[in-house]
Amino acid sequence: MVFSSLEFLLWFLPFFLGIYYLLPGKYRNLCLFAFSIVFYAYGTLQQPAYLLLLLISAAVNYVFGHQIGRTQGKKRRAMLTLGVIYHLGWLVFFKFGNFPMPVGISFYTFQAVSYLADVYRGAVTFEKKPWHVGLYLTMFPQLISGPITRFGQIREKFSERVCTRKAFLRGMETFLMGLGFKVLLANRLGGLWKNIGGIGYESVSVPLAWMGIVAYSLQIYFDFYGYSLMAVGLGKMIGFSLPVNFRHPYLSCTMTEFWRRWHITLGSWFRDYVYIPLGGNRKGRSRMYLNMLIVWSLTGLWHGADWNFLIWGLFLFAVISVEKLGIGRYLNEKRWLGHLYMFLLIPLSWLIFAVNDLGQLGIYLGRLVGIGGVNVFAGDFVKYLQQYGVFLVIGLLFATGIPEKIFFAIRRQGVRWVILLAVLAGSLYGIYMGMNDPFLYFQF
Amino acid sequence: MEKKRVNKTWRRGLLLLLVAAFSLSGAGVFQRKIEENRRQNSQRQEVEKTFEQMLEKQPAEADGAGKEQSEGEQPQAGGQNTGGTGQSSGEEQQAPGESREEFFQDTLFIGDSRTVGLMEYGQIQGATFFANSGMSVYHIYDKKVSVAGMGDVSFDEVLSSKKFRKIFVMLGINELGYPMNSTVKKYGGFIDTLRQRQPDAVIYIEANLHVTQKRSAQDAIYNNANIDLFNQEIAKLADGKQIRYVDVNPLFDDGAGNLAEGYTNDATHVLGKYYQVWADWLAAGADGQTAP
Repeated sequence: MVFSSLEFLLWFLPFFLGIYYLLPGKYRNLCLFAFSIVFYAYGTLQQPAYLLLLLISAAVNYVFGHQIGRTQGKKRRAMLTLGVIYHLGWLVFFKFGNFPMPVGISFYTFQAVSYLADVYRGAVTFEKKPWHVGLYLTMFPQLISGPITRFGQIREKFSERVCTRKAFLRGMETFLMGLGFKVLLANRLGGLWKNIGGIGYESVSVPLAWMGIVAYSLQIYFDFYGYSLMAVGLGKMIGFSLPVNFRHPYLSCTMTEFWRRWHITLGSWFRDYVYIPLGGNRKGRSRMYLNMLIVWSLTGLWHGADWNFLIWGLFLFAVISVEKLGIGRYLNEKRWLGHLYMFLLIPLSWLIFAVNDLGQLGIYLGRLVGIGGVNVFAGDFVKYLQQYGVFLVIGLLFATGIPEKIFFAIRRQGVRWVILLAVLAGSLYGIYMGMNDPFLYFQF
Repeated sequence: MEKKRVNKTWRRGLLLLLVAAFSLSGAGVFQRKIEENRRQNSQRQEVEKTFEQMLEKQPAEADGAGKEQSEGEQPQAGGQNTGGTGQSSGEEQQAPGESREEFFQDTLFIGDSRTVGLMEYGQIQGATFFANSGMSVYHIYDKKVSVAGMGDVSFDEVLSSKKFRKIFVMLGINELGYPMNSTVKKYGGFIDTLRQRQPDAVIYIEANLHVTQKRSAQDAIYNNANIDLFNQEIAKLADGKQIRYVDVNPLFDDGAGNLAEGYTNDATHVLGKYYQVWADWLAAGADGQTAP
């Protein structure tokens, strides 16, 4: 199930909240667990075994966590290794295999591994209550797309959590904001990238090619940021504080800074469980670069098992390495230059990410500089600017984070809620219209 | 004390009610999803089977087939090859005495987003285009469309603007959701209007373009069975002289009556660069076309 769907917004969520809050506190975890199962089952009806896979992963974590926590010496290491291999094994199997990927596997696998690693190195004590371990992996707010939460950040909430009315409302505000970002901004902007695909990259004019990757950059940001906000908002509505995943990354001045503000929980996972265990920057310069290379290659592949994702990861590695050599500091000082630099690099990096076929990628890169046009329609830029210009402007504006700041500065709750209800209505309408048109607003 | 107990009972009752309602409605929601999955699945399996069979027969891939060269490879793809299309192999062949440019002089194109594609990417100069995404026979008189050199005009104004020698019409896909009889009737009435307003023009009823097999298999409305049915009906309106029927599908088909995968990225429209092939084919082969 997806948050931005009618079945979630109008059926699942209202029932969940109603039943959850009518239940006495001691049954609420069970309620959350049960609903999370329903949530996941709905999305994996075609492969019911995947639900089992998820539950078994949780069981493995419980058992192995217990073993690591209670034993000494070599056995601990063996248990950790076995557990990690089990989890990552499935992830690799599905990423590189031909089978449809279980929903959320990239996320819950990383959470599972982090739990075992944390128990091993003593960051957390192992969890005795199996349903807490289960909830950690399966709770529906963060099951599908994160944020990747550490067990230590969330465990006390399993035992006891309060949700004041204020927090509940604040959570709902965050959720609605995320919904708006996804449906009203991301989904709309996504239409441009689809149109460009429909034309064929070779027939796109130079300005349209640039507009396309800017639109894609905004789409992917609001899509993911929106989803993360919805997750955090849902968590807050039931008393959880899920970690922040985005800190207005498009305001960054360097790529290094960008990856501390974009998908923060993924970056910190790789830092804590790959980079630092490999030695980080404590084993000399060249080892540091090697460690970075490994981390970025894995980051790329985590996103997808295709050549372009690996190239994307390596590209990021190259940029960040060059920044480390001195440019980074310079860009941080001359911030206007840094912003310009990122305005160029962000869309370019997303282009590599977006296009799976390397030949097509080459064609698009050519179009960005005017090479290789075939039957280009000179008026395409103006045409699509008329269609998408408004959303581009709104997107760029919201990427600065200023509208959000203004929104939360509004004291009068009534005003805030009028805005959010309009967002909700608009989003419901957008989802409904998207359902009728298989290509999402794409008219013949 | 009593009140607390009553409250608790109310709470429990409401809780039970909600759980029951959730479970019952849940059964319905899940049922619907299962059926939707099943339908897509069985269609997808059919598609994949025939798709694999077709991969051997498929014409040249998209790469390199952007210009005139591609026409040489296409005639093998199509099932039906009416007399006119046969001429499109090899280089461009002009109708006797008329250049490509002359062919499109005083020509009017009417249609939906495919015709927009022809306008934007077909390298056609001198013709008039009255087209936008979503154009339909039901609303063609109501809406104003931006026409080059005229601004935002209604269809009536376009018909009054000059005498056209040729009128190409490609409509019908957007109306597939409506009852076909009324659409065909509307279409017929539309052709009659064209005959009355432009009595000297030759009217070319263009067959609607197929969608890919994948899309066709998954779409209850926009599939090739429906498209073919509609095309057959409007073909009957042709008389072979003033009203002719032309079918561009053999140019882009996969050999089984679907838009070939190599020509499209969105399952519905050909890539930009192929509109010129289409226009060339019209200039070369459409003149002299008779209904199949």
